Amino acid sequence: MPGQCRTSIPPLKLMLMLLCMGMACCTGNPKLADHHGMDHFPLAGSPDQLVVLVFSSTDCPIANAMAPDIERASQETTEAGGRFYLVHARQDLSDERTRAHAKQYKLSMPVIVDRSHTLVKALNATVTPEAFVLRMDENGGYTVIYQGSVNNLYGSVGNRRQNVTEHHLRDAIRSASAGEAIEVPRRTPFGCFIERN
Amino acid sequence: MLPLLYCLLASPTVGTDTWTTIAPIVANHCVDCHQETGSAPFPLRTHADVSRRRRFIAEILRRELMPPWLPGSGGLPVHDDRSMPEPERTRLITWLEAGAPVGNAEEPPGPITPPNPKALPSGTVTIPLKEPFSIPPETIENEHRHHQDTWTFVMPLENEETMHVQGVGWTTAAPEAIHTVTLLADDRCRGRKRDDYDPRVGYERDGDLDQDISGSFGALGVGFPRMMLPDGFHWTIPPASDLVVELKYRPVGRELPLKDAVQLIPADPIGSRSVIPVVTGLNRVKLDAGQADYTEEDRFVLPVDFDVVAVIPRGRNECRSMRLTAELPGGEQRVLIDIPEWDAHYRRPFVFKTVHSLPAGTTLTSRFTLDNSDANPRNPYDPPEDLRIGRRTGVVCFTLLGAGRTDAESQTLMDASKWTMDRRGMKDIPMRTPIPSSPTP
Repeated sequence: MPGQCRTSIPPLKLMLMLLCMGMACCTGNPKLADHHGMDHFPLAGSPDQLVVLVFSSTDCPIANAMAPDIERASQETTEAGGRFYLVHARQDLSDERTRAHAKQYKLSMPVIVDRSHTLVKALNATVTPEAFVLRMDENGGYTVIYQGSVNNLYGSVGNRRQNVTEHHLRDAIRSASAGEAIEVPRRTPFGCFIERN
Repeated sequence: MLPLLYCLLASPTVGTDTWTTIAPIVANHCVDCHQETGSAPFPLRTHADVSRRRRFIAEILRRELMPPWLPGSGGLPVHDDRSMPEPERTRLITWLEAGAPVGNAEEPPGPITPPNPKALPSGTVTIPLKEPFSIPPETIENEHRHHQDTWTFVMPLENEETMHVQGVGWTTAAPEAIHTVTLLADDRCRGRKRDDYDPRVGYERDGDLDQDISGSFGALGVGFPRMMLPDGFHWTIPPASDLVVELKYRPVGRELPLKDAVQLIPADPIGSRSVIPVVTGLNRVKLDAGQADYTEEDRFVLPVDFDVVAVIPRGRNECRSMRLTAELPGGEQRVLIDIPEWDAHYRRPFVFKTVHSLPAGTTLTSRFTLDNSDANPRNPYDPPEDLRIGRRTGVVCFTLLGAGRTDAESQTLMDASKWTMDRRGMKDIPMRTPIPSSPTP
């Protein structure tokens, strides 16, 4: 599809990467626990399945302001048979704080703390919030079919609009679920920087 | 020459800073808001707090988004100046880009202690919100499209006698979501009537009452929870008044219950003058979607002498810059305040360091540049929409607080301001001067 970029990680490279990081690995993809202690393989799935990851941070006001829209995107993803993860890209975040944040913001999706930045590096996430919509393929890899902003609440960092009028992530999820091409597969996300380990 | 050389050698230079030398800059410019109970989203009290966000903070500093400070360098000196001097900004950025080194100090500084707010003077009156109100997680479409995220509360004072107030404060349980609080004293139950009309807690309109502008009784803003008038000036509250409070908030993604209160700090009325508002600005704005670089002015001629103590700017985010100048009868021009990059989120009052006396016949000129195109990153609407908006007291305006030499002169000033305010709404009046496509001041 035009404008869409295949970013599958070769299984061997991923295995080596995970072994180097000492992570548990069962299917060639990283295993991470959510805020309830349940294990997930966010970069694996059955062929054609949609997986959505939104990188976030408990103290990023831009990501937090979009929490209700992220929650709606999560519900629409699961209703369409996909999986949705909120990923906090912070080394120093406790499970307790993660659970408290999910409760405060009424977030129902699995929340993963990517302390070693495995997912950050695999997807090259740069800011919070930044959304990725992945389409799983038959070879255990995936294609990133949308990457970018959640919505247009911010015109740039520090410049917040009155209302959200464009729901970029939810539009992408709807198009992908309907088997349609995503109109704009890349949008610049504005948010707090992810400080790489 | 020797003392200068000594200073240069003794002070830290760019590139040699450590947390020990950087912490005082952070303490002076950041920690007021960036503390656990502050208005900022995260604390910046320890090396770890700063270091873990170093790339982001460096970028925010480079783009001069922080610390937030609206006035440019052209206006009168004001109290509580939060602008960061360029050498300190450069040192902080350089230190962050160098990896935020702790340094080799044997005992690096501990967490920065947030400044203690000055104790409230005895006799301070605290009036809490009487009914529970919560800031919603997201903006709710209000009946009035251009007054979203704005709510007004009536707080009865039940004062049997006239009150004289030198300062106002606002305490809040949700500092991260409060954007501006503007106050008005009402002794004619006008706020109560509006409140009675709306069955909810408070009411969904702005806090103006007829020609009386919200903010004439002071205002608070982000990181500015208390406003004090200089000695010799006070606000007067007639008996049996209500405070009418316009609250502008910014939803933060979760519901935030308010347990807020107004504080009224008493004044000694002996030898003190009551402040009144004088307004200059535009009370109708018509801008087509996409229209950029639109400049308009308003002029107001002082009928009597006016001693100005503070100014409160107001504007939507279609406004890019604003400036208030005074042309004295002899032709001398003075810039009172110049805001080259307006951001409504950081609106607050600015109290001048000294009382500024303007003689009768002075022309106050307020000048506003607006941009309703998508080139304005703060445009509230994406894509831009046609803007047709009116507010009797000013869509974009400056409220000057001050006093005439006598009560009678103050009344003359206020009457003239209100008369002009009403006239501004009419077409083709000579004092309203559209200047399309003129350069930014």
